[in-house]
Amino acid sequence: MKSNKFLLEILAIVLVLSVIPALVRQQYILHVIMLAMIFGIVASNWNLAIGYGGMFHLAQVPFFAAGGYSTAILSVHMGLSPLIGILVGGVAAVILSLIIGIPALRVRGIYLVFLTFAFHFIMLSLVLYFVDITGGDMGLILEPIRIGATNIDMFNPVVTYYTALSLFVLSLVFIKTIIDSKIGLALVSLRDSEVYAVSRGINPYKIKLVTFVLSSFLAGVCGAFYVHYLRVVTPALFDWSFLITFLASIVIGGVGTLYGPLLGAFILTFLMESLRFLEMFRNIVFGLLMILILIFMPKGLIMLANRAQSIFSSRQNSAGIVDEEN
Amino acid sequence: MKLTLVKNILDTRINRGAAMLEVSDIHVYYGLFEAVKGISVNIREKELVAIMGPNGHGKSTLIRAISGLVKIRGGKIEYNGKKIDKLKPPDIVKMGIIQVPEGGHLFPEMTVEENLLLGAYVPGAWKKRKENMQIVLDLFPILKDKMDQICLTLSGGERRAVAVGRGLMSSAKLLMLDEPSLGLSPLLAKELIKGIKKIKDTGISIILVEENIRYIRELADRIYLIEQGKVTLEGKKDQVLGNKHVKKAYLGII
Amino acid sequence: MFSDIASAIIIGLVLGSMYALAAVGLTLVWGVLKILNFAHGGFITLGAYFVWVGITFLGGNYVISFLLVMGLTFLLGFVLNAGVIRPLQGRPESETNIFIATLATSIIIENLIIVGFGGRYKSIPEMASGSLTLGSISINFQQMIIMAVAPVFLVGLMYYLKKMKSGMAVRAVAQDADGAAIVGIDSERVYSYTIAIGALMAGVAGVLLGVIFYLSPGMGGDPLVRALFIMVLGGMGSVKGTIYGAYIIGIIDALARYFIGMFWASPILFVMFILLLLLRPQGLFGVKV
Repeated sequence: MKSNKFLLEILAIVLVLSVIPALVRQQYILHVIMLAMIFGIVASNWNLAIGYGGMFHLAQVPFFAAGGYSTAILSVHMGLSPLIGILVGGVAAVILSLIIGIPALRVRGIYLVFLTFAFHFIMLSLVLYFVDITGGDMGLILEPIRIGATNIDMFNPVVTYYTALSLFVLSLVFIKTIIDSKIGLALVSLRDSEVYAVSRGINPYKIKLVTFVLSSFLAGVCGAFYVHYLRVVTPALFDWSFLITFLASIVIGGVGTLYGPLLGAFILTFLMESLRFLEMFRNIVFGLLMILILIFMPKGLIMLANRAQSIFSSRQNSAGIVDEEN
Repeated sequence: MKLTLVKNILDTRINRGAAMLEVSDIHVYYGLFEAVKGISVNIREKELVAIMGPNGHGKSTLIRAISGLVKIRGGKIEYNGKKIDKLKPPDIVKMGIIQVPEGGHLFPEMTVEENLLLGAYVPGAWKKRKENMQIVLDLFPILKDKMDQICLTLSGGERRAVAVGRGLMSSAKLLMLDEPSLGLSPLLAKELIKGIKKIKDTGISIILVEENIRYIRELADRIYLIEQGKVTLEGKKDQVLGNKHVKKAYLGII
Repeated sequence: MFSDIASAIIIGLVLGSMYALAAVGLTLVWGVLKILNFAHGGFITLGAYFVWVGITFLGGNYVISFLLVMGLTFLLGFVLNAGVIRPLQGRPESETNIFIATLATSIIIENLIIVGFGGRYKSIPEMASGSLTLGSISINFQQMIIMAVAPVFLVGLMYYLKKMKSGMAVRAVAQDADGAAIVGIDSERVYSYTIAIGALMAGVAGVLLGVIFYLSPGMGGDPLVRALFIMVLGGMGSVKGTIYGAYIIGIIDALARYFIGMFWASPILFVMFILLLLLRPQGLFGVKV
């Protein structure tokens, strides 16, 4: 019953998103939707750790960047094909997540934030230092890749759009599967009551590490895809604006919800793009809007939608009664 | 029947006229849980009112509501005829309504002297901090040698003394003591009771939340019994302690 | 060799002075509000640019420019609290929200500086030229000024917290917020001037950094990360521990720059930070976990 509902939702999403290129002819809009899908994937995988697992960490941007840099380096220096390259990006992120996660998940709370923050800077330093490999400040430029002997660019807009859409759907199924699996149940029970979960034989460290690693894979894949799409990789991959976009997608959409981060990513990406006319002032206005959204929509849009739904479906819940007295 | 009704009304009128603090039918919620379900309490000048009842039935919540630490929903709280239930805690402190909470809430890494000085934080009291400090030290001489000691390192009894002393530093007019004897050895508790008696003699009104019937018998003028978030019994000390239900449930007399 | 080490230690003390100012505000805000203010790096940058503006456009008076920085960053601290931090406090998810909002604030500050002054490096003209030579070691006057100015502010802050009534109120809120409310301390007010004091300290740190290094819109990021390290090293929320920690990190930083290479100082410090977090998260001096 429940999985039927999910299947329908997925079908609806696929249907809507796959007919858009037929209806909308402007490449620019397709480009924005594609970015939104990619950012949504990174955000919703991060949400697996933050929202479902209660582990607030800042390693998602390093995962994204690891995916991007690994695929770019292998492609530029060794001519690796992008299709394998994208997978390599995911693997690189998984390896990094093990390197970070094995020590880092032994600490919690604010210390986990600091630890992952330090990793971010170490990675950035390494990228800037090994100029021969990474291109340093200037980054690396990727050659366009032709399909077979034809003259068709492998990363032409239509192909990229549908690749992003496939990743998007893959990510949704991936996350849903994890949430409904034993791991997901253990994770949520750990978040809600660690004492209880441990008493039921759950090993917190193991479950957290598994989730941390799983949530890194698609971030790396997206990083790789993003780099191939832009055909350039630079240290800008470590920018705060990525961190803020991903994190705010989760918060604005709804922490610990399946669709919230995706919705948040769409809203933020479109917002960011619609502010392009502001040029130099864009980041300033974006920052201000972000703060205003946080202040005036604290619980996330999904929560808002859920609440509206519950008010319509049952007007006499206990919360309603108390609210009236207030 | 009619006569008693008139008498009751007159009684409340008289009480009301003399009451410095008047809590009328207040309700307090923690989320969905109603901790205080329409409590009315009053206290007159120079009076010591004891509040008794089982744990978790709303006594501390009542005190917190008077201090402004929790907001009330419905009902009102008046102090000398002025509504105070919408005021912030600091403004209530400024009026001389001081709480000594359960557990003291001392500043653990400050010295005894600093803790006492902060008791005089509100402007009016700050001017009188030297005199008040003297009063506190006369009341609790054990603190004299401990002024430079960090509160974290004090014994339970000393901490309680600092907490009450900090309350007195603010030139309190109404002191609300929440379970001051909890966890003290009988000897220390005795000292504390002596101190409270002295405080009362200086003319400060006191609301004393207490479990120990012996102390209540020794100190109280009037008693309120609070059960399940409601006042189930109120009256003069002897009236309440003589009540059948109280005898059975709280005094262990069958 | 000896003179190398001595020179490195002097540089270390100079760096430590700046780091102490940068970290102490962050620690204070953490101790009182239990939040991480990521706009702190932005305030460091603002301090440096304000003093540059003062010196460039107001006739080069260092003292007036310095006072201007102090006044402006202090006021902007109040604005930060009223506009960003207070509205988000005490809500579910407030930690995450304040983290994002203060990070967004630092992005706003960075971009305002890019819009106002451009992205290019700037430098503040020397305050004092010349140097003092003792045998084979030489200290220039700028470094001496920095080593002298920082302790004035640090001691001033300690005095304020220890001896003055409103400083005691700050400590009171940090140690027991309920207890503070009971004695009549308005914690909202304490929050706002704690953040303002933190902002002022960041501004002063920015001035000293600007004197030695180049100015750039993102210049506050590096000291912010070091300040986080220092804060944990000194025990989160402990002002005294943070000051010791800052000088320790300053000296390690300088030795690494001197003997291993300019570039490696940061990665080495970050690795040490990670080891600290794993092995002794309560810090060197902390008793609490």
